[in-house]
Amino acid sequence: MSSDVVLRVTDLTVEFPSAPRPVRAADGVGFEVRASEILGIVGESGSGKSVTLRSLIGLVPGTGAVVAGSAVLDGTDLLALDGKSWAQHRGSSVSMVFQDAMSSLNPVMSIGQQLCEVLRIKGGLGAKDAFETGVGLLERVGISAARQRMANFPHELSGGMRQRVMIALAIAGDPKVLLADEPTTALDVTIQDQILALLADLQDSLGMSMILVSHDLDVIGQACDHVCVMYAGRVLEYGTAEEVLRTPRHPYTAALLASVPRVRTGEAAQRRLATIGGQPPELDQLPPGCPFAPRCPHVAPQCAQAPMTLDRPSPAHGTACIRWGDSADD
Amino acid sequence: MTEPLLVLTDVHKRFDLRAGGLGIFRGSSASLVALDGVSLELHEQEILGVVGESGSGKSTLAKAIVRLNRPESGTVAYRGRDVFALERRDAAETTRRIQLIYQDPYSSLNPRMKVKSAIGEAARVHRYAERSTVDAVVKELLSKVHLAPGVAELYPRELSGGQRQRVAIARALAARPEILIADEAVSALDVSVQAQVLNLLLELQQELKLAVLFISHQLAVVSQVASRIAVMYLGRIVETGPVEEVFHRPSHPYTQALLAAQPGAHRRGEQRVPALRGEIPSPMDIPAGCRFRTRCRFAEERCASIDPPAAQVAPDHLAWCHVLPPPAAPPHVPVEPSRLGDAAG
Repeated sequence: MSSDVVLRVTDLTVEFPSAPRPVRAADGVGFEVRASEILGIVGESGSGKSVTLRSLIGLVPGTGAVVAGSAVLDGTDLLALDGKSWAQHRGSSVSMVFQDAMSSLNPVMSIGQQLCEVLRIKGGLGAKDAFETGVGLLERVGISAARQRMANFPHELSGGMRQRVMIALAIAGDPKVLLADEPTTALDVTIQDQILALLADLQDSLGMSMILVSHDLDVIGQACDHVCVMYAGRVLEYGTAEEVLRTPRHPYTAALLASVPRVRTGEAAQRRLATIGGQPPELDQLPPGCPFAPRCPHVAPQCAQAPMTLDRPSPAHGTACIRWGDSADD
Repeated sequence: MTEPLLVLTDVHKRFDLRAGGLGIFRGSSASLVALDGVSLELHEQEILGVVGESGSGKSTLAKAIVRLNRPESGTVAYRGRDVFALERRDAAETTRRIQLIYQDPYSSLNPRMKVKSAIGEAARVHRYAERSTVDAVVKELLSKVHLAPGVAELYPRELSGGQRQRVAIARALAARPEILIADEAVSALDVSVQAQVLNLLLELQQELKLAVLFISHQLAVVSQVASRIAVMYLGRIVETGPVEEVFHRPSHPYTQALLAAQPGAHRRGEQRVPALRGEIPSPMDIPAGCRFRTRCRFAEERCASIDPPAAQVAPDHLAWCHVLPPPAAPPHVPVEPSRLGDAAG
């Protein structure tokens, strides 16, 4: 293990009970997060990106459970923690920013109360110090008149402001890795721009590592150093954001990139978008072998052969497409 | 140029907050200005994009056109006749000719109606089908939106998001409209499905010679489908013109900021300040003078007092700004990824 890896996730598998057999929402997911880097996980609905993220903070939703794998942070396997140990690690080892701040913040506690609660428990601060530190945190995330804002309740704030408060809460415990699940998806584009700039700035100045989950390839491309592309619970491609998004090595990534609408600034371009045929697969009806095979324009008979693993021709850029290697030689 | 299909002239719509709800605004003079003098034209067979952030008045605009919101002043004229001054029969006919597609097909389709009933009902109400022919009509509409005939027997919950939006489109087509108003019609969809539905809309627009008012907060989506665009901010159109022209030479500082704020317009590690500071002001308290001045880095003294008149940037390209700052460096356009098809094919 190279020394600057902060979090190493190996073979993470999450199942939800179902008849006749359990559904795998995440299947053998693996990646590394290095010190002071932002790793992006990109995928469409049902790709397993959120489940992957949530399992790293012990919040697998509903009846789901982690059935295999490890996620080692500072010698601790996060996936093996029990409820009691989580109370210690959540917020300080890893913390999370959710998509919907309105339903993640406590509606009947003021911003100040919520911040002070974290700071007293995680930082061991007294009431007065906690308040002052809380004001500082709000200022740090770009909230003006922070002292007065401490008395506000979540409903009194705009969506962008609530998201800033949630980020302040998430960094209050000085986490090693910040997990962000679609943190800007519900926001307007100019506010999204502000929040992305804030996250990059915080990550840089605090030296945190971050995992950013998004369905938006442009957001991932702008914010992240490395990126995992997920589909049907698996990582199909992994590498630097630059490489993966410019020279994709998996047909799914390429197809997804081609279907993103772009701002037309020149002459009228082709208005029709490239599309991916068919629908994303149901997780209980996955084909053997490559999950993308039924929709893939380059499908070959050997694609149906299980299992599919992430091949790493170079440490910088791996693909789970078995056909990519064929063409690299010629 | 032929007579426009739809003409909005100086439309104002205000919501009085004292009147309803919990009464928490009782006694105050609170009213929310959703549309503050909007004028636009929609021509036959054109796709006009309307873009703006939350609170810009886009959805109120859509509802005013389909007569779900009556403006306080101004007119909405369909083929030269004010839609709010029509006799009942003509009003019904207008309602049929202008169909609205909503963002969320989960809540715009009745969960207890099968697809065939949802589409069939619309066809029968508008007398394009009767009991004996309704199945055939439904089948034809489904094929128009590229859904298998078997979908007719399903309930909305059994469909994917993209399929559901196709059903919503088929239902709108059942009325044989002339104008489609698509209010964030693809915003809730995954990007690969979004592309499919956008292509479908383009295809139907061509085939059925529809005029489309395409409302979205996603600039890139609008630019992909529309030929003309109107940028809205706090209840007003602040810039309008042909898409290529407006995006090539954005002249209102707000349009410029929207372009600069597009994700993908920057690179990781690039030192930068956000394109726009602050948030959209409350529509209950719209700034005097130019409504954008509170967030505008080019604002001058006159912007605080004088509402800017339309400035002509180019033929058909108008911007409501005193300053008209020159566009910054052309927005960074991400490099098209090389297609894997070349490598793996």
